[in-house]
Amino acid sequence: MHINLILESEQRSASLIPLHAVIRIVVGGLGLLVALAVVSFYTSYRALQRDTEETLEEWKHTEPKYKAALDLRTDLAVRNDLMKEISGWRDTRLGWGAQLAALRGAVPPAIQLTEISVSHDLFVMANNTPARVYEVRLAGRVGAAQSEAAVSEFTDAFRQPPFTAWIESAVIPPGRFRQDAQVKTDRIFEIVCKYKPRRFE
Amino acid sequence: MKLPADKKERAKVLVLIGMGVIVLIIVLVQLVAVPILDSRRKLHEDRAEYRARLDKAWRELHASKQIQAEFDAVTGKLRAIADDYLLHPILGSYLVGVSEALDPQARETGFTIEDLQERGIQALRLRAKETSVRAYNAYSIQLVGQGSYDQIVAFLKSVEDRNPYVCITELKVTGQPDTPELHRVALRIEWPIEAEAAPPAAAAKGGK
Repeated sequence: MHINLILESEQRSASLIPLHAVIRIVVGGLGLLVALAVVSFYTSYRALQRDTEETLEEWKHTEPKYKAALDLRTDLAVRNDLMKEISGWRDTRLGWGAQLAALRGAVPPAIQLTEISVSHDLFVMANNTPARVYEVRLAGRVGAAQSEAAVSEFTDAFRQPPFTAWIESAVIPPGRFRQDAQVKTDRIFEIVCKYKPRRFE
Repeated sequence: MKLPADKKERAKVLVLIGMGVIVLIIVLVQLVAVPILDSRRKLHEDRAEYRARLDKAWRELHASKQIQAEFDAVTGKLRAIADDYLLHPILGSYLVGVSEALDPQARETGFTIEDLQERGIQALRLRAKETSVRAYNAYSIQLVGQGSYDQIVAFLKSVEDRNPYVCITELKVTGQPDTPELHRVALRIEWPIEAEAAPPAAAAKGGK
């Protein structure tokens, strides 16, 4: 028979480290860890705050210079556009002095030119590129004998160098090769030369 | 503080304490931790944003020396073109400048200028972008004259060679039965001019 006369409140743990002490150590350790975490968090938070403030200050200091640099870039783009515009104007023109000089060499001896007419237009091409295009109408007279051969020779000249560099097509419009109403032995003709579009690029 | 000796009472107290601790933790999380964490996240975001802006700004500032050099070069070229080749009004008239430019060339080449008339100012229609700044207009004149074929060629070459920005947009050479060695010439010539320099009266006349 085993009789335990010790009251519950008088019972003691047989362990070397009492439970209360373990609980106190654990609670104290947790409290210390929490305190360390709070301090660490606060320190890093303050550091972040300071760093952000410094970055903001630096930005405030740099922003005007940055805006000036952006303005400069914009101004440069505007000037480049102007340069492109004025250069395009120059590069798309055709030198008519040189064209007339070249034309003189292409006229067969039998032909007498009576009129040279140049017109020009500016338009936007399919790829949205502006272009300058010229058209030349050449009117002339030729003796009836071998008139067809002479006019064909003249028209063919525009399909050969140097004209192929500039001219896209050279045609006699329907009805524009006919007898001269005043001089019956002569033929009059008209050749229309369409120049290649000179693209603004 | 001593816990009650009774097991049930002690359990009640412990439950109450536990609930109190949980409520305290919730209150602390909601009122302290969440705002602080939000604030920290915002600080992080702000710092990252300003750093990104600074990086961009530094790159731009680093390039700005080169941009300044390009800007100066282009500005110099534009100024040189404006000074050397664009037409400038003399006492509000461009035609005087045109006469001053063409008459000596006509004399040199033997070409005869019979009439010179202003045809007005129109926008330069050949442009890089419709949205770009309008800085140039085209001032056009109608010239009538006569000369031999050689003189005409020489005159046109002279006009075009001396100013690469002058553009002959219309040309009509007609033979004259009475004087077969001389041909009649009608020309339309366009000069670029600075848009802001265009006198309002001339600009109002319009183009073609």
